[in-house]
Amino acid sequence: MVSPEQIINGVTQVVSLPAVVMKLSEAIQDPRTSNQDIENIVSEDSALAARVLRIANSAMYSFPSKVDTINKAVTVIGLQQLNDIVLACSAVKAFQNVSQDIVDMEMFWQHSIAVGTAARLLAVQRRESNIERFFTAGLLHDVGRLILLMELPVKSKEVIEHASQEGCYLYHAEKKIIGYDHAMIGAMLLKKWKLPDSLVLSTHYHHKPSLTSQYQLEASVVHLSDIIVHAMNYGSSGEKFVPALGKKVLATTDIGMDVLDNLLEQLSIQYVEAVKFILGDDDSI
Amino acid sequence: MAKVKVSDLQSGWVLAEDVHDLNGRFLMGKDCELTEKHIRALRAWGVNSIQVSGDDIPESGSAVEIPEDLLTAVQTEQEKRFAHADMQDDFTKELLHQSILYIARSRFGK
Repeated sequence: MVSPEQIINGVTQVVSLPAVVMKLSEAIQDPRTSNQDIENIVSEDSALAARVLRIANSAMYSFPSKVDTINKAVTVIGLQQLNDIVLACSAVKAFQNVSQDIVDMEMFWQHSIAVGTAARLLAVQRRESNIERFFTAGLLHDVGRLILLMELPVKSKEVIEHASQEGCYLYHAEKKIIGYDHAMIGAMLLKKWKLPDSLVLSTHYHHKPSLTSQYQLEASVVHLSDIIVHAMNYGSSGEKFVPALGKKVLATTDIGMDVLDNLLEQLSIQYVEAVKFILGDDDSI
Repeated sequence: MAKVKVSDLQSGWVLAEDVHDLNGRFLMGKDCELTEKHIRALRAWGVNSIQVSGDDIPESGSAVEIPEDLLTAVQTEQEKRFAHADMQDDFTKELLHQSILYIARSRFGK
């Protein structure tokens, strides 16, 4: 059996976060950092800067006037939020060289972006302070699946066949055939990338949020978002079944079915836009 | 009283309840008579649909009749996707129900 550590070592040689992510999170720690400093860092990658601006001008924010500089974006959406948007865009880009033969990347990211968008909407509903953190958590929750497909293509194929024969969840098949699942592998990569614990744990426990004592809210919101997106069939992570709702999830998130109507409507609008802005070609800006 | 999408609003209609934006910020009060300017503001602040007073105002979306066979086909697909979900749970039941309507409506629209 290939150990999880070996897999992570293998994958980090191919997939890495761009330097701007580290630079930005360092700058944010420094109280002397100005909006202009942030603009200078993000603008080093002009495609990234353009992407961030498109997101700041999207329906997610519905800001009445145009946000045309990173400096202004920091004011409108906040520094920590901007940091999370940069991270989300960079993570998608980090995997851009994964072969299309193994997985339909477009469908994969559509699913992930939809989960991020739903998580963000649930965070808004709960009046959370950093809603972008929830978006990023949703976006990253299934990266482990990409890693397994890249590093263990033959086993991954077996997993998919087993799940379809038995009619079971993919993550159950992963545990049975590989020995561990995509949630654990994904969390290990995020940890290796030195991302915050909230992202590591919400990824690790997105199928079983009650098993984590720390960041249980984040894990529960991602869990619920994943269920909603599977129900709506947006994109595809390879999973054919809607995950079963964890027992404590509605109580932990304080979300009731009365929000579904509005949530599904907002999701259908914002998800399409988020996909276009994050996956769209740089020259279509 | 009727629930109306912001895109279907007309000036002169009267709000049946207070309206808040996505972040819970108060925008307009109950009994406010809508002008074009109000409607633009609602759109800009990302409000989806609101309750409007009056008996003769049509509910948004209610006029659309989805063919029975399309609904049944989508229902069969969705029940398969929900095969492992807990169908005793109210939230899950509501999600299944709404997802069927949503998907059927979007296919019918195409």
